[in-house]
Amino acid sequence: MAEENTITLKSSDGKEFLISKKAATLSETIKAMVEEDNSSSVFPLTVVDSKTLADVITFLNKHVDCGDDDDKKKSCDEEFMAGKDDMKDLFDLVVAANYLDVKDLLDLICGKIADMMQGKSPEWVRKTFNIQNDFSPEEEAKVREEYAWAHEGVEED
Amino acid sequence: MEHQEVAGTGGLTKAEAVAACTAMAVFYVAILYSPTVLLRLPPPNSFKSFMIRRFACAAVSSVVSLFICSLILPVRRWDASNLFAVYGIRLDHIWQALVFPLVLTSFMYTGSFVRKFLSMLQESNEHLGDGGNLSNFCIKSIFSEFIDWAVSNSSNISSWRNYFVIALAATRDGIKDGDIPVWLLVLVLIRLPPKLIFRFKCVCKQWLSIISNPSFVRFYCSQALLLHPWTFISSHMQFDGSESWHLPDPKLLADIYSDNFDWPSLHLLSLPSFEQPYGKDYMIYGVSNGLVLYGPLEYHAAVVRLCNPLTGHFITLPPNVFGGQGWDSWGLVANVEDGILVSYIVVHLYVPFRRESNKIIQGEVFLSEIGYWKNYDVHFDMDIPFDPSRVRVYFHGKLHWLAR
Repeated sequence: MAEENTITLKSSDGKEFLISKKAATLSETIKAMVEEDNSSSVFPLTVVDSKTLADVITFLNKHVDCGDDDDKKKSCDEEFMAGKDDMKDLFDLVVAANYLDVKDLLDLICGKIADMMQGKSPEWVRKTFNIQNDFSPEEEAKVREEYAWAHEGVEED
Repeated sequence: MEHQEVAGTGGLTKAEAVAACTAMAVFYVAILYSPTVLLRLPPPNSFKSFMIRRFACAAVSSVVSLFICSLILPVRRWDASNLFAVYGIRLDHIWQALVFPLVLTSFMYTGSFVRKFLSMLQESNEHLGDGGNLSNFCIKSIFSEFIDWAVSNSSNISSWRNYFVIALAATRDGIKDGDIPVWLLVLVLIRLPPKLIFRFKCVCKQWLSIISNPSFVRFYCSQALLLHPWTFISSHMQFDGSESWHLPDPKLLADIYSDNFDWPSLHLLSLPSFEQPYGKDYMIYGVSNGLVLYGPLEYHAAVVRLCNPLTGHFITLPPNVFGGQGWDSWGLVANVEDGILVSYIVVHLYVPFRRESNKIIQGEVFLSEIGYWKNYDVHFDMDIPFDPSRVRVYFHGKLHWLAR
């Protein structure tokens, strides 16, 4: 009986994770996979590595436990996000959330990234996201001058 | 001069030769940094220009090295074999000086060569299984692949480098350049307050183009209303209404509110200021559906603009008739659908200081569909005292001026 209610998710590096069907189907992508192929119990997720998948599964399990209680969800989410400050990890997680179509997780991570950007300078953004500045100095000065008021009150990096 | 002296001594000592080689190696590395460090050129703005610069540096250092070699080494006769010998290309040293280094370098590319060869072999096997003609197919496919390869490689600066310089795989931690997909960027950006959106326009060209894109602006406006329900507009302004007051210095407001987590719903925006001679201060006449009607504080009612403070776009209305010596009051109704301004109505009521009759209120109306001001004289049966500070209300599709 128990087996019917659980499925196995396989990460891109071949690790297997057991998860309840109820938690797994919070992901629209997995839900569609399960509905399409009711007979199998192992679902390979070729674009999610094991570290990220473990995080996603923790999130899904927490959310199933919370049910519809929004306050509980909020504290769960805070607990889940605690210590997640590495941009690379957040990035992996948000890409996985998008692929697996878990809206709550997608919103949570995007909100976290936006919070981290609060009050920051364009230079901080470039450094953090590894973006190359492709403006010429004159072009950049022009854009900055146009929105000079938006550059007041920048945090020191 | 130098050439003759060296030629006169007949050769170099070992120490001199080692010093010359070391100097050449140092020179080669140093010249790679010369554009930014010595010539003070701005850093290259793309990977391609970076590579082109490197190639130019490498070419310069090669030419200079060749030239200096010919100065310090004894060039006795100006014939081909002697010249080659000066640069170490000699028949008796052909293995040590030419073949070994080239073979060692070519090992770098063995892996990809073998892989390509194997995949080609597999392809031809499959083709053979289908009953095709092996030799014909093979020659054709090798030939066309070679042309494709030559074309794509010669147009790709970075692969040029791979064939000249030993490739160092760039393994960087974190997010790689250009790795952030646009969907993620949009999802993150719409969560930022307007001030940061404007600030991040100068991150790079991609961000500028996304943030300036009208469909992003529409999406942002629709989301911003949900995420930031109150947007605070300021910068030298005066409110029109029951009473007017000057707001404190906008910089102070920005420090207090704009990025402050305790006031997440307050965000500072500024309206595009007026050119001379109108001065910086302006007055807000009306707000409707996220659009602001405003004009310069001095030269009252001389210029009136309709502006979307989130985008900074504005429309300057054609000059109106009334103004100057009198009291006035304004009203705005903007009709916005899906973040797009569909139509708008501006109402301007006017009463001269020296009023001829208390039974008349003059007014002018600007309808966006018509495109010009239309005058109305509204006659009343009784005296209507006009008080410009009277609050106007937009209710049930109509503007109302409340009487006392």
